[in-house]
Amino acid sequence: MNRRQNKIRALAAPSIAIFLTLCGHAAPVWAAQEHGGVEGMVIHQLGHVLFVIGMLYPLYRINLQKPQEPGWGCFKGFLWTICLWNVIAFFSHWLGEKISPEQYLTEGVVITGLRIDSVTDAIFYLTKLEHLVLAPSLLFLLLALRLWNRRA
Amino acid sequence: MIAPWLPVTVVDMAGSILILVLALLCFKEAWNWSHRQRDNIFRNYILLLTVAIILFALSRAIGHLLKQLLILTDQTDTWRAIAPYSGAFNSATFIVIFAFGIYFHRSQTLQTEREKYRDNLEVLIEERTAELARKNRDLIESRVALDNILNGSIPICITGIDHEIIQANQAYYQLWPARADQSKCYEQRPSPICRTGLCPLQQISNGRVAVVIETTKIIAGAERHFIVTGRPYLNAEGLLLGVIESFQDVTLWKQATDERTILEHQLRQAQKMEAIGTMAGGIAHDFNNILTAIIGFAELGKIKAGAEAEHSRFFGEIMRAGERAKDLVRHILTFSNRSERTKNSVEINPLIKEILKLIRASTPTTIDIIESLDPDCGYIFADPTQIHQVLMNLCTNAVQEMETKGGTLTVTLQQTLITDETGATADLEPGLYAAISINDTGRGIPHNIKDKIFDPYFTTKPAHKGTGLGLAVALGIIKNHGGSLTFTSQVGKGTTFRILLPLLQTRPAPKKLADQTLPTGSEHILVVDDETAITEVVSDLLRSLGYRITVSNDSPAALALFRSHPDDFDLVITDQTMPGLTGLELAREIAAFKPTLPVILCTGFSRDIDAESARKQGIRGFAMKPVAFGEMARLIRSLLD
Repeated sequence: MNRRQNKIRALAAPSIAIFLTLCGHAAPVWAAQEHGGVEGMVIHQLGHVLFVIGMLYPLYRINLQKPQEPGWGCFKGFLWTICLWNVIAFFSHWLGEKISPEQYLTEGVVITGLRIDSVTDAIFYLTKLEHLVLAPSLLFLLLALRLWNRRA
Repeated sequence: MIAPWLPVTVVDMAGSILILVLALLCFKEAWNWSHRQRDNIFRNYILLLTVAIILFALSRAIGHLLKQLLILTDQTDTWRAIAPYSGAFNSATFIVIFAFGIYFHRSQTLQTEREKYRDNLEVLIEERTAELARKNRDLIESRVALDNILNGSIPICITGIDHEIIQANQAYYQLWPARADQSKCYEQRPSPICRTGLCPLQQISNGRVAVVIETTKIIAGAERHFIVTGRPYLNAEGLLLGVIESFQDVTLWKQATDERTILEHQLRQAQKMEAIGTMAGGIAHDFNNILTAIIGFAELGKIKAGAEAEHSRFFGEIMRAGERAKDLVRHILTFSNRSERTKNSVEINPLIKEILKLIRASTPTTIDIIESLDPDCGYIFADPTQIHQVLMNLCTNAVQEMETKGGTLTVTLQQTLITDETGATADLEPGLYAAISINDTGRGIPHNIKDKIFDPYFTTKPAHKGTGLGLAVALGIIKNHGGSLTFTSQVGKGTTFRILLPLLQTRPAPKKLADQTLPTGSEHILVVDDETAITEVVSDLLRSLGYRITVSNDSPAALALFRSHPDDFDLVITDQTMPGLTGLELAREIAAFKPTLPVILCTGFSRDIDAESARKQGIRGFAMKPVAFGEMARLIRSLLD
């Protein structure tokens, strides 16, 4: 068994674990399954996981190759920040489910504030500022592309 | 603690707008980058990955902005209806990004391998191009070397199966230059072997090795002989495409061989003639001895019988027959080239008659011989033997022409006057000429060989019948005599050879008629001959003239007799060819003993002595047998007086 197969096996194990964990939170299924309720959230969260895997793999390959040309550093920056954003978004969605609607202060339908009673509430509040990570991430991608373009 | 929600809303909306802008800029950069190398797999992959991220960013930014706008405009229900679709689309973009993400390395590897292959291919192409260039140079050098070898060689050409000249070297084209109307080998080098079984191409096609002698004309028009060696011209699969022919000029060798063959033939002829001559000489010697006896006894009989006696006529006939026999011996000697070659006044009419006598004897009866000879044509200054040779040659040719079908040989002799005008063409001096025509009714001479018949070694006869020298020698002899030899011929009708020989303007004075009265004497003569009949007839004839005769049939005995009584003899008559001691040796011995004693040497034929050489050796009298009695009587008297 070669190194490549070992790596696939190493990645497969956590993926299966995450999948099984999520399956434990799913609604009972019948033959003609419906996809309402919490299933949308599970799928979305699974999407984030896949997103992270999809970005970690290039990061892993780049770390192996260690390219010296300009642009690759920015691209790595993009990959790291997009992964970070996914983690933040994942937790934001997860914690969002745990926040009681009563904790939101509203004026009509417009939210005006959040009552923070615990660390979880504070973290949730901070995760809602995830654009502060996503925007730099895309900026890294833009810089990488620009550098590649200049060099080409 | 209450945390205000406004920062969240502001960051969300401003971030969404910023993400929108950044996404569009990323798309622009990715598009430009990938389009700089359209065939770059990795760049195309990054473009697609960027598009997926842009889709994610757009869906997210638009969804968030729409959410904020709908909530602020109190359309929460609308947002609740749209939200699942926005989230689902967002989720779908995650999966797309994942799908692209895991192909990062594969696309990179593909591009790297592609570049490696391309680089390898370029290197390979460069190497291959360099190798091709090197091979091309090698090929050119090889071609130049082959051209040098080919052009430095004897003439060589490659002929295709269809007889087309495919290629040839310089030496070949120098002999047979390429011409548009002569693309085939048989057009360029016409030869008797063309399109026959001897043609090298046909021999090679039949699986045989071809080595032939080809006789053809080169550019200068001269006929040349070549040894042509043919080898198969094959393609890479071994299929026969034609023949490679090399030409070795053997003209000089062929001429030398032909000349050697002719010389060998001439040598054999000369040896044959030598043998005939020896035999003729022997016959002449013995025959003349016999004739001496016949003619002598006939003369003796005629004298004894007296002129008035009836049977005196019979002796006359015997003497005439003897004279004819004497002529015959002379002809044989002439034919075998044993007579002397000196020019003197020769009457042409009897000479031609003599030749016709010989020709008649050897001509088949299917050939008629007609002669029309002017009896008063006159005399020429010539070597009769050579003129004899020329006329014999021409007559023999004419007879051979008619041998198979028969015909008529016509020989005419007449005087003709050559003027400045008529003689100019033949380079003849003006004057009277003897014109001899020899006409046959044979096949005639073909037009194409008319220019060649006087060439040495040219002959149309089979090898054993002619040397090709006859007419050449005849022309030389006639020209040497100041004459001309020409011919006219019509194919199927015959040929006429015409000889012109200058006639002597003044006829030689006729020989004085011999004094019919034979001189007599009483001297003592010693007659020596190994033939008893001869000594008998000579002694009887001379005794009838009053001489005292002592006879000896043995030359050593005769010498002994002379030495014992040298003063008893006034003259010695001796034969030349005798056993023990020849006449010449006997004469020398006598001269040594008594130089003043006259000696007459007689011979039927001897290659060792003639009148001139006998005179030089001190012999005063010389006579050829058979000697006429009157001639002998006068010779004896002249020596004794």
